Amino acid sequence: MSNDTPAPAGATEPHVHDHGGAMATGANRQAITFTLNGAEVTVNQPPFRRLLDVLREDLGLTGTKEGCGEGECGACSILVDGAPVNACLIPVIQAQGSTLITVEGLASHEMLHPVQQAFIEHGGAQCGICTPGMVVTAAWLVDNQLPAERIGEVLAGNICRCTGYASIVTSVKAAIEQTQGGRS
Amino acid sequence: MTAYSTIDVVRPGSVDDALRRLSESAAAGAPLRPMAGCTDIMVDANYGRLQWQRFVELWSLRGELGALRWLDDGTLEIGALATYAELQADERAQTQLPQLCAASSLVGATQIQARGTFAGNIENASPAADAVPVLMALDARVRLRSVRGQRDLALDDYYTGYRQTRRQPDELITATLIPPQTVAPSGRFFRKVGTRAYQAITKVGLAANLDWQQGAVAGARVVAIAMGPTICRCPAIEAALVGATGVEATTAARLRDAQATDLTPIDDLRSTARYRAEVFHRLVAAAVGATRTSRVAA
Repeated sequence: MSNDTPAPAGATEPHVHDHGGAMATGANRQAITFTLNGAEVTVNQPPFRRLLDVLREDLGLTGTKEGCGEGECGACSILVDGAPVNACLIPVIQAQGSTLITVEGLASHEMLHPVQQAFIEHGGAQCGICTPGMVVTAAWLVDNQLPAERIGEVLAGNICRCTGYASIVTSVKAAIEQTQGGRS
Repeated sequence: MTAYSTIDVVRPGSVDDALRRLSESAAAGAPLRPMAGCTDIMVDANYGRLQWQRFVELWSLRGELGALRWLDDGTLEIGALATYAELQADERAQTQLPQLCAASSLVGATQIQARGTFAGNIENASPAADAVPVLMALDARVRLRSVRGQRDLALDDYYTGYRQTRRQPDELITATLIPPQTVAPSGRFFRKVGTRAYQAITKVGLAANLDWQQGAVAGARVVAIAMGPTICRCPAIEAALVGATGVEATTAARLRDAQATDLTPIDDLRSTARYRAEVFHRLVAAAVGATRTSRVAA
């Protein structure tokens, strides 16, 4: 997978982030350490704060979007320990000790992930809100060498309200062909 | 919106530590609520519906509670924190427990399946749960541990009312046990009826295991989904199915009567009582047809 590369684009320098804002005014905070896009990060946060908010508001990684806030739309998809999950449904305390990859961490230096490149070449994005989550889940599919027949099932948790699914599926198929040489 | 800053989370170092914390908090009259994959708890939190203020965090204990283990006698022990994705990845489960794999593949979608756990599905106690009905049809047992000891409860006796279970405040689900099955996979049926294939919560559904002998049903386990306050067995329908060779008019009438004895569906935001009752009856008939056909084909 692309997360083998140390310190990919979007990596954050390891230091303690401690600016939880209005949501974190209580005394009930815990130190939580995880690896984010190749770099170790420690945050000091109320344990139930959403990982999504910590990523976006405190760590500045706004590529991960919020759509529904209830785990249905997939706009907040990130990889945690190699699996696509909804960052809106993870209390930050559960990130302790985990390895996180956000959409910012998919590319290696100047080299886009094959899925990102394919979305550009095949018009996989319309309004763009679903795109980061769609790309993260599709990258997981491609990196795990799943067959093209499973695209619909694997992406069932990523909803595009522009209904641009045809171009999205075309993009993912292209990425599969490029990385697997057409076998699947 | 829930005030995140007021929620207290205890992070135990081991299962024993978690049990000790559960016991202490229960004794103090302020029991901790276990949190696992959080796919239900966080939805409640995000929409200001969270009922608990104090939690014990379990995800970090997946090393102790995350395994799927096939025991020597053929029992499958599903660790409390095993996910739907992990069950689907188990080749023996795909062969021997295809309905459980199918139900797991219909929980939310990829992201939820990577996080949602079997213990969470059981303890969340939704009448529309996906894994619970199949587990119940498979005669699964729930293993509970506390500092007082360990006990196994039949899943079909686990729910006492809407969102109510037999778990005591100091207990933790540590595993679900599926015994070796006498009914072959071809005699088992699972159908979830929702608004679409994925990301849908069940309107009505059925898990049924039918034991066919010489062209007739010799025994049945029938589990209703979203037909009452809990997932439940249907004893009258099970009795009415014994001896059935198909669902002709008289059997259909008998099954409808039995259904009225077992189940009282309601109108709610997802469906109506009338729709649920009619579809459920047809699902029972479909289960008879599907399992009989596969039996003949085999």
